[in-house]
Amino acid sequence: MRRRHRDTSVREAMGDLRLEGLRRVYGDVVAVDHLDLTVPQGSFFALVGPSGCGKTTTLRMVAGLDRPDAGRILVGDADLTRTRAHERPVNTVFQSYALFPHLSVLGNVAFGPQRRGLDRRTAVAAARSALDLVQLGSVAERRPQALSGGQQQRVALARAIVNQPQVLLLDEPLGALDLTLRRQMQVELKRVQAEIGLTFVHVTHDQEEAMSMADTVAVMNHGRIEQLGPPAELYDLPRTAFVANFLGQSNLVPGTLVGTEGDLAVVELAGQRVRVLAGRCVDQPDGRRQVLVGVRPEKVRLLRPDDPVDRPAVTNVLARGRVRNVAFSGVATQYLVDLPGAGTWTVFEQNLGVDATAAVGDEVGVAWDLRHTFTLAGDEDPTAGRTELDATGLDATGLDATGLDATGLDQTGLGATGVHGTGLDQTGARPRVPQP
Amino acid sequence: MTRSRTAYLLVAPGLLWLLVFFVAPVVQLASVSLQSPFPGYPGYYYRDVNVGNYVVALTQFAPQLGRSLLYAAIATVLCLALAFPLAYTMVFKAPRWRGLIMVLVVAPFFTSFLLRTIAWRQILADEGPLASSLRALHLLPGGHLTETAAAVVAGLTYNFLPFMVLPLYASLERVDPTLLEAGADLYGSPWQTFQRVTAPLALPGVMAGTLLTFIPAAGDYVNAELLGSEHGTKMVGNVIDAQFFRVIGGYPIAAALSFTLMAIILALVVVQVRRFGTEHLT
Repeated sequence: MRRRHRDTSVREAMGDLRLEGLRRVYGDVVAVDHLDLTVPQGSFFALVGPSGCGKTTTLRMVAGLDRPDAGRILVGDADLTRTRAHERPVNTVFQSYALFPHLSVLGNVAFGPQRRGLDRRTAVAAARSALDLVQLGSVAERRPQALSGGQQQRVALARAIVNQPQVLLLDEPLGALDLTLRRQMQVELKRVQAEIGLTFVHVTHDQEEAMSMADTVAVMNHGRIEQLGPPAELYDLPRTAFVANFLGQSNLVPGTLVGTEGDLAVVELAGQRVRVLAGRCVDQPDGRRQVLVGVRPEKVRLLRPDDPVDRPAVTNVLARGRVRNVAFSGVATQYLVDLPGAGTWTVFEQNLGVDATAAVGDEVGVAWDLRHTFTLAGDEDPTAGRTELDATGLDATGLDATGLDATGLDQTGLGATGVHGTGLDQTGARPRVPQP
Repeated sequence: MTRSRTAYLLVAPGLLWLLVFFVAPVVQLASVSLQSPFPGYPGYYYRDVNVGNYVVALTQFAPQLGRSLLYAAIATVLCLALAFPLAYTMVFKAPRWRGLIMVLVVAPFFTSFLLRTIAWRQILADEGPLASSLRALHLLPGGHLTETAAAVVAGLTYNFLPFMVLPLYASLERVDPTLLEAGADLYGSPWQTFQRVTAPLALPGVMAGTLLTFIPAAGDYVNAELLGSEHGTKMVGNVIDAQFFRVIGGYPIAAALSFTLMAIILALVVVQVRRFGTEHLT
């Protein structure tokens, strides 16, 4: 028997959202594993990860729709863990929107205020202003089924924000929209969040969406948060192979630490040496010298055998590669370069020159500013977080600025312009967490 | 052109069936209900427009007509009260037991309606455990369970319960469980969510179930025949039965009673559909 709080003070709780040691197990699948997290009040927080990583379970536990097996959920100083969904100052925008088909749009939006005991007039007035905020005042009397997907999404948003919750949970809210609409809604969501200043916790498998919208991104995998930080920081310096591959793409190659040069660490890989800023090396237990050397594909450029190396003092070079594949995608070209002993590298080059830099079979080297290099623990799987498409090298491009969709296959199947894999669900390989 | 011809071909067998076995008998029944007895020849009639049959039906047999509607209404309410929690549990609370509960609901259909009702006589018998325990607890003022109105209503409820469970189950199953979560998320207590979300969405099932239960229950005579007494629990079906088979010259009265019942039910259905009408069904 769960304890029931008749105390309404929980509804008035204010402050940061804190999760302490949260854990949820379904059968023998650990969906969420000892999760600690603080989401500052008023921030836009994104929880990103592949399907089955526990992000939706986390969200449902915060909403009160699922109960944790261990741990606590707090808003400010109020402990919500044992309270029920309707008692929490938390609202959800469901992935399927879950609009009530038997009520008008206005009735849907006024539902929350009315259940909170507002009289009908006040509730309806609040609902109307929430609908105005999402620019849907004109369809208030219609049934949700009569609206387009994007409009329904905005009704779902209005229905949640009208309650001015302490925390607004968004469960893949844009997943069902096509690409253009999704981009518009991203801007719209960001605008609404800035305007009302609520804490948004946004769950998505779309890493680009997470990075473009959130103040803080947490990457989840196997029920744990792998890494958390501002998007640019996270992208610039991933600390695990999973993050390096899941947020954008990375070239990850095993190497051996062989020494230091001032504030640089020197790593030997395939008989050649590259340098890494000591501050960008992952901490490893003493004596471990095996590392993964990483660099983002768009930081790397191709080097023909007779090209001079610019500013050799700050440039890493790996020579004697051969171009295996060239994929032109308008704004950029992706090269796959086989480097003997160092695997296959992906290189994105913007099409700045008049001619293509290299053709299949050409001998090339790769060069990059050494400040972009990072290292990860040597015992990690360099393919963690990659999809099968990435692994086979069919990846088209990851240059988000090109307007190419980097999100992979979205639900409608419309947005999948490129054969980019980073957002592709990885559940094929992993058991899906049963939804209760 | 072709499309409409196909449509005609498709509805033709059904229409023909209804014409032969429904429309024609109804017309015949209507004409019988207005016939007058042939003077001097008991059991013989001539065609007439004798509204007097209806006057007899509505005055002499008003108690039975009223009782039919009352019993059917009580049985329908009881069916709803029993079936809703059952269907709700099957859909939302114990989906793994769905199959089993469904079998239990439908299984009685494998035995004859008549046999099941006769079995109730044993269950309710004076010497049976149910009646004896109730008597021991002084909860049985009349001393009997059989031959009471309660027994008739119980029988009706039992026999028509599946007709309530099945449509309710079908309409609840179509309710997206996320909507109930949304109700809770939007500050609806479990009861408020039930009232404001589950119940309105189940309304089509309630409508269908109510009609499927009430209509046959109002016309039923088996339960009153087998579980009721000779006096005070007879329903209109029993009167029609008696007039048709046991009273010489009762044909026109029986037909008039049938028509009256049909008209009343039709009127009630129209009122209900108007009231909870199509708006809630979409």
